[in-house]
Amino acid sequence: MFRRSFLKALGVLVITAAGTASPLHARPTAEYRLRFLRPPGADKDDQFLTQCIRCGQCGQICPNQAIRYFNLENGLASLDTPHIIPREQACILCMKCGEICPSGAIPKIPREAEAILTHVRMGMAVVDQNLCLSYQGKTCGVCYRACPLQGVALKVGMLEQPSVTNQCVGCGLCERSCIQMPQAIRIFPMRQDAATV
Amino acid sequence: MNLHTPPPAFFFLKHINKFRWLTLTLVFGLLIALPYISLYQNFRAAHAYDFLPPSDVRIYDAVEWLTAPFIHTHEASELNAIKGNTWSGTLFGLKLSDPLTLVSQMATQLQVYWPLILTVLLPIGLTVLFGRFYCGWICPATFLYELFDKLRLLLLRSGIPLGAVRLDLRLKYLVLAIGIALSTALGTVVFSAIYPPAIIGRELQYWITVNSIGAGSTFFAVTLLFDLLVSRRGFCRYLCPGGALYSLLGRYRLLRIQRLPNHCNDCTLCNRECQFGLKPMRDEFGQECNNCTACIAVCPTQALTFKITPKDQSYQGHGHLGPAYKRTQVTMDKEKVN
Amino acid sequence: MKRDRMSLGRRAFLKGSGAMVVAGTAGTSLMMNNPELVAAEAPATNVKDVKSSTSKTSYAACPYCGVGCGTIIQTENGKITSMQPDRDHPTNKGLQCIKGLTAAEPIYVDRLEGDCYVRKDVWAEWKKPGHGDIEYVSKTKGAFDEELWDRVPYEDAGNMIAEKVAHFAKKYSGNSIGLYGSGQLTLEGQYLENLFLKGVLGSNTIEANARMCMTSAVTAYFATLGSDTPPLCYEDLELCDMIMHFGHNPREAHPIVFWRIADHKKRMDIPTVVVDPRRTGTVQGYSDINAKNTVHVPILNGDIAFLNAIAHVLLKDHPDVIDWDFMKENTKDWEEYTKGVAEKYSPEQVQQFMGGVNHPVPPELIRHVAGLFADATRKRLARKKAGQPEQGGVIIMWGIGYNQHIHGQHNVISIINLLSMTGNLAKPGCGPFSMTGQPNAMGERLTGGLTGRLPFNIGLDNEKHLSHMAAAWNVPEDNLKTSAKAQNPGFAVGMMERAQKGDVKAMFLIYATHIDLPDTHNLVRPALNKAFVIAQEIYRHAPNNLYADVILPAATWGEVQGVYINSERRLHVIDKAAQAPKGCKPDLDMVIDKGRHIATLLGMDGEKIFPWKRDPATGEYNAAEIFEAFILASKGTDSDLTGMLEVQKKDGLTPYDQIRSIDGKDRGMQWPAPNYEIAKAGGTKRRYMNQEGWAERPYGMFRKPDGKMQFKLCHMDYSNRVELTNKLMEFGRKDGDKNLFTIDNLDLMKEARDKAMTPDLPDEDFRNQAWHAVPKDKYPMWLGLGVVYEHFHTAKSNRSPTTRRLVPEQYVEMHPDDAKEMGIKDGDLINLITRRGQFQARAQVGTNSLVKPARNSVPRGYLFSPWNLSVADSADPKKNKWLVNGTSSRIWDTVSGQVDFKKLACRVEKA
Repeated sequence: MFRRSFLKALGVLVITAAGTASPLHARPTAEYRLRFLRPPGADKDDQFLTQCIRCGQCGQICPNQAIRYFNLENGLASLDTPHIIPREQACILCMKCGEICPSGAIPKIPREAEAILTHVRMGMAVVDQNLCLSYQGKTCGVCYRACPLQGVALKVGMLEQPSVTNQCVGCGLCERSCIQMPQAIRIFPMRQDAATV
Repeated sequence: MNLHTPPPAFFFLKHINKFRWLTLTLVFGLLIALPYISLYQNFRAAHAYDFLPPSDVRIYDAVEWLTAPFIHTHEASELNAIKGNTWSGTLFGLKLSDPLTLVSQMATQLQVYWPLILTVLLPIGLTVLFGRFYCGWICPATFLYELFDKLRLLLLRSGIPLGAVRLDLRLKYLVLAIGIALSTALGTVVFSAIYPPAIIGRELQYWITVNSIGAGSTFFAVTLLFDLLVSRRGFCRYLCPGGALYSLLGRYRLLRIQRLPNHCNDCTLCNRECQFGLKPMRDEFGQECNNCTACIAVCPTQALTFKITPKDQSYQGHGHLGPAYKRTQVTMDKEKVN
Repeated sequence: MKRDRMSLGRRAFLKGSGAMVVAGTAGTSLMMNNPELVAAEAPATNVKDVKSSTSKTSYAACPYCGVGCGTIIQTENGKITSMQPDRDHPTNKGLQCIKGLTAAEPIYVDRLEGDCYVRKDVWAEWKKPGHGDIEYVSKTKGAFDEELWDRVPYEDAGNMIAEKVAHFAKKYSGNSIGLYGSGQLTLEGQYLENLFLKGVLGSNTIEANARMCMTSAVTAYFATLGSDTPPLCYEDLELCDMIMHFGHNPREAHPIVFWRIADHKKRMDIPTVVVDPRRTGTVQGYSDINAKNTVHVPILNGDIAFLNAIAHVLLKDHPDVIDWDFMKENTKDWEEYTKGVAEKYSPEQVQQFMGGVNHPVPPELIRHVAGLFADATRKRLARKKAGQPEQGGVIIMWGIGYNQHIHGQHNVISIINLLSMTGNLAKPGCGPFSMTGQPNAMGERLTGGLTGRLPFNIGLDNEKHLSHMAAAWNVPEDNLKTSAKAQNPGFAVGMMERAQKGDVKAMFLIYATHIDLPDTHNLVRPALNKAFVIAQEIYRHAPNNLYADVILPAATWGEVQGVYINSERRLHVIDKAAQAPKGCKPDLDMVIDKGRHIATLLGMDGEKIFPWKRDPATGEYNAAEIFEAFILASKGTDSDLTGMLEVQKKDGLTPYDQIRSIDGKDRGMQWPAPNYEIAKAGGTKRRYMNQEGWAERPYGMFRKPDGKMQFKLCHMDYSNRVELTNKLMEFGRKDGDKNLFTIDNLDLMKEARDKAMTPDLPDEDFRNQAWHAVPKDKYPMWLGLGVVYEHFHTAKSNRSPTTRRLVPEQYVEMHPDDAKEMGIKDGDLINLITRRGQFQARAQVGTNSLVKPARNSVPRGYLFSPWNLSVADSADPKKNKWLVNGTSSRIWDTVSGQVDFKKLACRVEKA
C-alpha cells in the first residue's frame, strides 16, 4: 500500500513537528491502539477517509454527543474525522448524522429496524463471561435492556445472561450501559483496520 | 476639463464595507452560537437541567431564552435547521459546501459524489458572478485576519519592524495543485487541515462542546504569525488553496470594482488600504480582488464603483483630479494653444 | 506507569459516573485525554485488585422495593462506591435486579449539603423582634432558586421549627401538626416519629407514603386475620402448586420474586394466573416457560366479581376442595359468604353485569381458572391424604396495582375469602401474599406511623395498649388519648384537604416526596402553599424543596444505621457504610432533637421521653438503643420481639448482631420472635393456626378477638355507576369548585367503595376517533399509572446514570389499533389530559415500538404510563412536563385511605 506507507512517513514528520510546536500535541501517537467506532453506516475506513470532508456537522447534530473528533492521536489521516467511543457515549441509532452528512461518508439510512440491520455495521459486541455479572450469578441484564434491537441483536437466557447474535450492529449502547468495570460487554469495531486492534 | 464627466459613485457604496463587517461578524457569531445550540440540544435531550453545573445552567438558560422565539414544538429539533460551518453547512434544508470540498473529495476518491456537487453549485455560481466574494464577505478567517491586520498596523506605527515580503501571487495555485496531488496520493482530504475557514468552525466547536482544541488551532496560529511577521495577509494572498480556487472560479466574474478616473485624485489611499496588495489606483484588480469594498470606503472622491463587466479595465491613466493628470492637461493645453 | 494512569482514569471515570447523565458534557477534555481510547489490553484480572486498604464492606437490605434483597455495600475512602448482592441471603441468594445493583450510583448526585435552608422571607420574619408573625408562611413557594434561601445552622433552624410547632400545638391543637413519613425511613426513625406526633404533640395527623401503596392490604388483613402481615414467607413460593398474581407485575416491580417463581415453575410446571389489564412481561415470561398453563385474565376493575365467581364455580363444580371443617371451626360469617357467592356470582351473572358479551373475561375463562385452582388445592389435599406434611396449594400474590383502588380493601378481602374457603390459608405453601413497594413499608405498618394506629398492629382506640405505649414512650397518657380523639378523616388526602382549609398549620415531609400523592395541582400543592412545611431532604432538586419553608439536609440509606422490614416480615440491619456529607443528619437524630425540644416547650420532660445520648465518637445517636426500646415495648403484643433480648442475655449477641446473623443462621429475623427458641431460629416463618410454635401467644388461631378468621362478602354493583361516578369526577376538576372537599362527602366515598366504582368514567362514545376530532371536554380513554422495572419511584433511580439511560423518557403504552384510529404514530409526543391536569409522554405503540422499554401490551382503550419519571425532566415546575400525578384522582376509601391511580379517564392530544 503506497498510500499507507507514504502517509506514515509523512505523518511521523508532521507529528514530530506538531509535537514540538505545541505542548497540546506532545503525546506520541505510535503506542496507541485505538478502539473506536465510525458513525453508523460508514464504510470501511479507507473508503471513509476518502469521502469524509471533516465538516463536523455529524457531531453537531448528534443528540447524544456520541460523535467526537480525532485530533492527531489516530494519525494524520484521521485528523478531525468523527468517531464514537461507546464507553463514553454510544450511538442511539437516530440516523441523524447520515441525514446531514453532505459528503456521503455517512450514508443516509432511514430510522427503521430493517434498514439499520442491513446497512449499519459499526462493530460487534463481545461478552466477556468472566466479567459479566449475569454469568457470575448476579442477574444484571442491563445490556439487554439497553439494546435497541432487543431479542434480535442481543438475547438473554436464564438469569439474564446475554448472548450476541450476528445481527448486532455495534451501536455500543450495551457497552455504555454495562455496570461492570471494566465493562464485560464490548464492541469490537468492524472497520478494515480493526484487525490490528 | 472633460464636460462628459460621469456622475460620481453612488454614495451608498461607501457604506457597503460596514455591511461587510456586519456579515462577517454575523457569520462568526453564528459559528460560536451553533456549538452552544448543539450543547443546549444535548442537555435538553438528556433532560439534564437539574444535574448541570452552574456554568452549564447559564448556557442552557441563555440559549433557551435566545432560541425561544424560533421554537414551536417541544423538542427543539427545529434548531437542527442551521448546522455546520462555513466549510459545509445546512441552512433550512439547503446544504451548502465550500467548492474546495468537492475538489478534495474528487481528488481523494477519484470519482464524483453527486449530492456533494449539488451542495457546491450555489457557491460556485455566486463565485462566477461575484468573484472571490467569499474571502471578503463570509470567511471567518478573514474576520480574524482583518482584525489581526489592525493589530499589525498598530505595531508598525509604534515602530516595530515587521516583515513585508512580497511573494508571487501564483504560489497559492501551487499549494492547491500540491494539495490535490497529496489528497490523491494519500487517500485522505488534506485541505480540511490547512484551510482556515474549515479549521475555525471545527475548532470553535471542539472548544465549546468538549473544551479542547485540535491541531487545526496550531496551524491557524502559525498562519497568523506568518501574516504578522512575514507578509501582510500573506496566507490569504499567497498560500490559501481555497482562495486559489475562488480566484480561478472568479476570473471572469461579472461584478467588478472599477475606478472612475474622472473622479480619482491619485491619493493612493486605496492602494494602501487593500490588504491583498492590489492597486485599484492603477486599475489592477484581477482575479485576486474579493470585492471587499474597503477601497471604495476609503476613497475620498468616490472614484471607485461597481460595474457589471466581465473584464477589468486596462490602466486608464492618472486620475483627473490628481496633479499628474493636471500637469499633462496643462501641457496638452499648451500644445493646443501652440 | 501507564497502567497506573489508566486504572486511575478508570476509577475516576467510575466515580464521575453521576456526571455521565449530562451526556459527558461536564467539560473534561474527553477527546484528547481518554483512557478508553486505548483498547484494554487484558481485562483486569479481577475486581479485588481494585480494592485499596481503605475499602470496606457493610451488610444491608436493598434500599428499593419491598422484596428486601440482601446487599453488600462497598465503601472506598469513606464513599459508597458499589453494591454486591449477598450470596448468603435467604431472600435473593446472590441475585439482584438492576436497581439494586446500581443503588450506589445516585447517592452523591445532586446532594444537599451543609447548613439548613430557610426561605429568606421566613427567616427575615423570624429575625424580627418577638419573631414577628410566628405563623408566617413563605410567599416564595413554588421555586427553588438559590437566592430565595438563607443558609442557617442546624441549631438555629431547629429552634425556629420547635418554637413555631410548639406555638401551633398550643394555640390550635396538636392535631394541627401533620407529618408525611416514609416506608424508606428506618424502623427506629418511624417509631420515634410516631412517638413525636402522637405521644408529644397528641396529633393524629401522621401519614406515610405507605398510605398510597399498601393500606388496602393493611385494613383487609386487619378485617380478616386481625394482624397486618402476610402470614407466609418467600419459602412458600417454592412449595406452592399454583400462583395467581392480581394487579402485580413482579417481573418489573419485584424481579427477584419473579425469578424465584419462574424457577419454581420451570422445575415443577405449576400453573400461573396473572390478572392484569395489560399483558405484562410477567405473563410473557411465564408463557416462555410453559404457555399451556399460563393464564392471563385481562380485567379492568372487576376483580371482586371475578374472585367471587371463582368461589361460585368451586362451590358448584368442585365441592371437594371446600374446607368446610376449617370454616366451621376457625372462621366467622362463612355462611353468608358462601350463600352470597352462590346466589349472585355465577360466571354468567358476572359477565352480564360487567358488560355483557364484550366483557374480556368470559365464563369459560373463569371456569378454567377455577379448575386450575381446584387442581392445585387437590394436590395439597392429596399430600395430606398420603400422610405427607400438608403443604402446597395456591398462593395469591398482589401488588400495589391491586391495592390502588377505592375498593382495594374489598379486593384484598375477596382474595382472603377465597383462600380461606378452600383452606389455602395458614399452611406452608399457600395463602395471601401482599408485596409491598417500599423497602420498609412493613416497618411503617408495624410501628403504626399512620393515622389511628399505635405500634405493634393495634389501633389507637385500644385503651389497654394505649396505656402500655404511654408507659413505654414515657409520655403522659392524656397525650395519646388526645391523639385518639383527634380526627384526621381522609388520611393522607384528608391531611392535604385540611391544610387547604387551614386545619393543618405545619407539616413535616420526611423521606417522602409529595408528588406520590394524587392530584398534585389541585390538592397537594395548594395545601403545601398554605402550611408551614419542613422538609428533610437529601437532593437539591427534589420537588419537596419547592414547597418547603425549611429544608434540613438529611443522610440517606447507607449513611445511617437502622432496621428495615421486608414483605415477609424479615428484619434486616442496614449498616452505616459511610459518613453522610457535611451537614447531613440522620432522620433519627432530627426527630430526637426536635421532639425533645418541642416536648420541653410544651411543658413535658423532653429528656425523659428522649433519654438517648449522642455517641461522642460520631456525634450521632445510636440506633441500637432505640431498637432495644422498641423491642422492650413489643412485649405482650402479637409482634413480640423480646426473644432477642433473651438471646442477648444468654448468648451475649446484641439484637443487631442476631439480625446480622453472625451466628450462621439465615440472615434477618422474621417477627414475632417472642422467646429464646424462636429468636434463635430466626423468628417465625409462618403465622396462624399454631404455626408460630408460640404457646403463650396473646391470641387464638387468628388474631381476631375471638381467634377466628372473619369472612366478609364484598360486592360490585354497577346499577347507578354513571350517576355516582359523575359525582366523584367533580373533585379536583380544573374548572370545578375549589372548596369541594372529599372529607365533607364521606358517605359518597363509602358508597363508591361498597359498589366498587372507578374514580373516573371515560366517554367511550368518543373512542375510535382521530384525536383532534374529540371535543375538548370529552375523555375517551382509560389511563393507568404504575411503575417500570428500571426505576424505583422518583428520586434515586432517576439520578442513577445506568437506569436513567435505560428508560430516559416519559412514555405511554398504547394499543396499535387505538393509535391508528387516533392518528398517533410510534414515537410521537403526546399530551395526556384528564379532568384534573395533564402531562406529556412519548407514544409507545405496541411491543415493537422503538420507544423504550416496550414490553407490555395494553388492551384497547387503555393507556399506561409510569409515574417513576415524574421529575426526571426537572423538578422545576416550569420545565417539568412529566408530573404524572397532576392527572390522578383523589377519591379514597374511607377505611383504608387508599387512592385509585389506575383508572383515570383521559384524552390524547398531540404535543
